[in-house]
Amino acid sequence: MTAPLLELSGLTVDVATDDGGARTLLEGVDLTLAPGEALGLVGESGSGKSMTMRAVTRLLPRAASATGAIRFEGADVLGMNAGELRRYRDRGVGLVFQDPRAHINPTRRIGAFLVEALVRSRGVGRREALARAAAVLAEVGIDDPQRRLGQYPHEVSGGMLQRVMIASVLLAEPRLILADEPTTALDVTIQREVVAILDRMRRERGMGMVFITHDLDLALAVCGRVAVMYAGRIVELRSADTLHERAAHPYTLGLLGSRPSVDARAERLTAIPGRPVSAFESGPGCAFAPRCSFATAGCESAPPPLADFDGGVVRCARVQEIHAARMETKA
Amino acid sequence: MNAVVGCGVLEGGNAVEARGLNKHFKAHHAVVDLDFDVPAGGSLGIVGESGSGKTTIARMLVGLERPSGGTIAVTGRDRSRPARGAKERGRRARELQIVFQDPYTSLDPSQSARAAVEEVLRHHRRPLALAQELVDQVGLTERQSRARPRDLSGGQRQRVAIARALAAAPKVLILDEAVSALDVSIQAQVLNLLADIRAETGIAYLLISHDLAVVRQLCDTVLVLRRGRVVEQGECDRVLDDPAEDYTRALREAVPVPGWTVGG
Amino acid sequence: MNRMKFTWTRLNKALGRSGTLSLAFLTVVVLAAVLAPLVAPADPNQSSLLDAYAGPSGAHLLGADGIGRDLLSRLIFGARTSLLGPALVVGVSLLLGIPLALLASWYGGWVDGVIARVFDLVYALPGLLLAVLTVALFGPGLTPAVVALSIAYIPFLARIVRAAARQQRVSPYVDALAVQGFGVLRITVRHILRNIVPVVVGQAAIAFGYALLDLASLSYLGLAVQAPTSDWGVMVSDSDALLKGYWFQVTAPGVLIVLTVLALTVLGARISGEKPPGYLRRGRPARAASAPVDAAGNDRTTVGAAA
Ligand SMILES: Nc1ncnc2c1ncn2[C@@H]1O[C@H](COP(=O)(O)OP(=O)(O)OP(=O)(O)O)[C@@H](O)[C@H]1O
Ligand SMILES: Nc1ncnc2c1ncn2[C@@H]1O[C@H](COP(=O)(O)OP(=O)(O)OP(=O)(O)O)[C@@H](O)[C@H]1O
Ligand code: SF4
Ligand SMILES: [Mg+2]
Ligand SMILES: [Mg+2]
Repeated sequence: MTAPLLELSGLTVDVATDDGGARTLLEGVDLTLAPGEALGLVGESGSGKSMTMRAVTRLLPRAASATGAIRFEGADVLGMNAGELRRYRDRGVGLVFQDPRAHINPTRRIGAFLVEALVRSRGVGRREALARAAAVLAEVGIDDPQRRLGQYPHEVSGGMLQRVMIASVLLAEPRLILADEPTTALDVTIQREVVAILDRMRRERGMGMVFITHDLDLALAVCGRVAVMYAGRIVELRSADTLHERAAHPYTLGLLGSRPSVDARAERLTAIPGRPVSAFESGPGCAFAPRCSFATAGCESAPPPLADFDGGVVRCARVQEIHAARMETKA
Repeated sequence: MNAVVGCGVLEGGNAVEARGLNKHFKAHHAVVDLDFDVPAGGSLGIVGESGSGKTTIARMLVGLERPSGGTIAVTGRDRSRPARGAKERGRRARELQIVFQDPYTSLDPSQSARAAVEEVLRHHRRPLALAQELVDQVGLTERQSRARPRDLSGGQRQRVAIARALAAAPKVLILDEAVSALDVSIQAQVLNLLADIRAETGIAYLLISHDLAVVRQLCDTVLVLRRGRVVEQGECDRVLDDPAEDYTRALREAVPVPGWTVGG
Repeated sequence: MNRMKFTWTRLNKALGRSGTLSLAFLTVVVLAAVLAPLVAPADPNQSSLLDAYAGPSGAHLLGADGIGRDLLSRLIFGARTSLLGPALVVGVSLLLGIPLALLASWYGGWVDGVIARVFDLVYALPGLLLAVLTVALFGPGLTPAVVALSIAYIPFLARIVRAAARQQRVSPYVDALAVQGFGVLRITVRHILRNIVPVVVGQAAIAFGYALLDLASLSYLGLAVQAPTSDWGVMVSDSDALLKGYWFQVTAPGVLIVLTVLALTVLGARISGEKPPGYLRRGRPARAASAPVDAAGNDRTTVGAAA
């Protein structure tokens, strides 16, 4: 097994509140990502997906502090000094956000946006940088890149701008791409094109990718392994091609049942009752207990550990029993 | 017995009929020669990419936008022209209601669910006692029904919006991306709720969505829209399982499903 | 006792320390004005030449002016006229400005355009100049000054109200109300106006401060409130005292004017939800948020609202 590209162990993020207390946003997140691997991070709003990504890039809110360990190619990210951090952000990781418009200066041409980092921190000549930018735009499927370089962000569509965003990440040639809901704001047809580009680029360049989304099916299509998050913790992690058959955590099962299918109408969706909670809202036991139909008194007293189960890892105290019961009803 | 009794009871005919509908925004032709029906008690889905004109259609139906051409009839009554007078406005309100996409801005920030519902009931001279039933029906607790919107989650707010719309006892309800902003687990709750309400009352839906799975779950018929024109229209099962048009096929194939692989 | 503490903390939280302090100061000033006959130690117009420019003593807590009138009493009664004028100005401006602002924000388009142009025009005229012209035409006095300033202050209030109301107007909840068949009047008054009350109150407080300053200046010039009446502006213009070196008699009303205006400005900004002006804040001014830190917090509500 190769050395991991990214390794999170026991990553916990707390944020100080106005009244002097602290709120836990992430609790004991363990993840590893091999070079060239794509890992999905799936969960509902507030589950801590973005916070995980922000911790990895050390772009946490001012009041937040991270404990545990984040290792990138063996280097301790939380211990990096300013210079190391700059190099790591510049060449190590690249970020793709949900809303490219909020991250691209609307008053500057696309070309200027794309070459800025190259010219400023890599000392590449302007002409050379523009040529590279045009080449990468062509790679992400943009016709007539020369013309696009001269356009302003408001002159192109959202899908096109997301490609520009991806191009800007690719120009820096990072070893890891963190994509936070890169297609959530896009139409399905454009979503398909954008994930295809991300996927092709990742394969061709051997980059690792963490793909954040609330759409479990999308994550399964894009990634090799998928981690399901709930209330700041990972509750299930397994390979994408077996998740549909082998999902074992009640929350993962709930997510699968909640999503309507395009292929057939369900008599009734098996909705999970209640609403998703954040880490700091959960009790001492299993965070999912108030919504879980399998919950027992024991679930609410102690937090279940993340344990190997059926080829993946699952955080549920009753996973054996639940699995056995489901197998019985199936048979 | 039930607060939404009075919704949707309509014998035969079409709940909504649009003929030759057009809308221009200056030079931009947003809706082009559109014909469609929502049968009484039926459920029509309108799908299409961003900017295809879905919201514009909804806004014309409820009178927030004036059609540039064509006719609209709801429960057999023409509404191609702006309503004249309060009485006419009230009547139209009791025929057709709408729930918007964004649960954060579609409620008055200073009004609780109960206050919003009661205001509508009073306006339409319906018994105030129905407020409790409406609030119960959409699954809000007593505490939630008294809270300001900012203290409610997105799904809870959307329930408030649905209760407020139902308070007018409309025959038809337009849902413009009403579940798109919700978390998956909440979306399922709201979809189930909408299915229950329709089963109970026979209300007709016009569901606008870019999400084919949601349309399939809630609609009988579907209309595929592209750049303001109809691409394809028909029974939901037929159109989605056996699309006649390439565009519909492309939309269908872009939906991630088990076994879907990345590829342009 | 517990309850009082609770409201005090809440107030502090809502208005900030500077806001709470301002509110407390203004409360004292308003109470003094309202209760002047009860709290003032002497008749503000009672002169006694023996006491001319008397220093602070048991008889005159803050001393007396050039004709021996009790300074403290004159300051307390002065609060009445000094606050009455701006109150009238703000009241009349709001009465005329709010309907115009709501009209403009509701209909938008050319209605908005015309109203906005008119506001711009009036806004371009300095209020003081307008007041001086009015006084030149109708003679000095509080009434012409108040009328002129009322008109001058309409845009100051209405432009902010229009912007806030416009924001509400384009909110889907207003569309939802319209679809429910509610009329324009009801929606604007019961919903839109109600939701922008803090903005209106905050801006009104700021306008009150400015109007107070304007009227004081006019009174100082002898164009508004006339001499024998106790008024802070009039008192500042006591050149005789200044010439004779009795600076306190002139500074005290001046300081009251400045403090009142300042308190109104801070409170107004706090109520309408803004930060108080930079020079009143401690520490360094907030840096513009660096993009990645703030922007990574994406929101599901943008789903489907693509491109
Ligand atoms: N700047 C902040 N200060 C304090 N708490 C925050 C901050 N940003 C986010 N949070 C909280 O952290 C938790 C995790 O948020 P995060 O943004 O990681 O969720 P997410 O899984 O990305 O959700 P979404 O799908 O809505 O993007 C939430 O409870 C959120 O309210
Ligand atoms: N008030 C307006 N003025 C000018 N153009 C408008 C106006 N409203 C909508 N349009 C344009 O009409 C077209 C259709 O817009 P509409 O909002 O109906 O699309 P939609 O299908 O609802 O898209 P989405 O999925 O993004 O909500 C778009 O090109 C839009 O820019
Ligand atoms: S630990 Fe208990 S409550 Fe938590 S998911 Fe498992 S069964 Fe449900
Ligand atoms: Mg997020
Ligand atoms: Mg729309």
